[in-house]
Amino acid sequence: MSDDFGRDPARDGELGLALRDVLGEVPGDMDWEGLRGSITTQAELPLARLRRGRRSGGGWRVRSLVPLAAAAGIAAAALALTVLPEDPPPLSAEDLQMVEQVVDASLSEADPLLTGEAAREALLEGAVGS
Amino acid sequence: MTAASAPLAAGRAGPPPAGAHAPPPDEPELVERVRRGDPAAFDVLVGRYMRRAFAVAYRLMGQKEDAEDLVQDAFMAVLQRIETFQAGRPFGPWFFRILVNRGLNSRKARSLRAVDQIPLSAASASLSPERAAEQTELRERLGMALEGLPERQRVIVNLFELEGFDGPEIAEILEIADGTVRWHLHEARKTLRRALAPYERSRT
Repeated sequence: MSDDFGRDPARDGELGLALRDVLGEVPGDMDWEGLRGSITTQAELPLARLRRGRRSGGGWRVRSLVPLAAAAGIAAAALALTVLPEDPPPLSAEDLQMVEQVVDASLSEADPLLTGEAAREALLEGAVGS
Repeated sequence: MTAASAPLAAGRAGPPPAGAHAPPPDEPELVERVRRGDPAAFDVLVGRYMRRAFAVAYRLMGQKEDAEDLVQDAFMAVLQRIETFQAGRPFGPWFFRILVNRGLNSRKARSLRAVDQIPLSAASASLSPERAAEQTELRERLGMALEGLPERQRVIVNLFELEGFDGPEIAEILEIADGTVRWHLHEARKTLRRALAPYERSRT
């Protein structure tokens, strides 16, 4: 018998024979088809459960999504109502005229700044003051 | 055919053997079909693994009826756990892991040691009285040595020497490292050789 504590030990034929002699052979008079039939008969119920589980599993997933989808819809609607501004009402003719007047006045005040005239006047005022 | 390969031959009488490293190419599909509850696919798996499973179960349990019960139980456990089986993994090691674990648990539950139930081989019937006595003594010595082995070593030596599993397969079945399998095998062989030593000396 060879030493066996290495990589990929070989089978120890002599030990195997001795063990077989002690333990006896695996019974050779087995009714394999009987055993197979017994196993498959016993498996009918568990297999049916697996089939049913598959079928109802999908339905259960869809059903579980319904309240989630409803909740998501409600949340989206609430968000839209609170965050998004409503459309402003259209301006009347008077309002429009007033807006134009304000804009014109503002532009005339801003004109010196835009042309640089305001800066020149400021320099002159400063010189006069000193 | 060598004596060591005899149980495998029984397993190979039908479809390809149920090895861990070369699973049949249709196996992932079969397992997936079983997962969906397909009886035909399950029947193919039963036919493929039943014989080798019985041999392993018989070595574990020591009695034909117990071995049959264990094989049935292991296949039912497969159906209970099939949803947890990782797709793409080889079915064989997973199945034999279930079988061996359930067999060991069953033995523990009944406080049964396989060697207690070992039927004496009928091989000595035609031997001379001296030779028969020697055989009986050898059997007793080896039986006691086997009984004295730690459970894991006994399982490993059975799977390796008698059932033809290789080291990596046993490692996968028992969920231990290859090196640990080799170490247990080495230790088990050392113990068993000691028991066989007088017998070997008498033959030289």
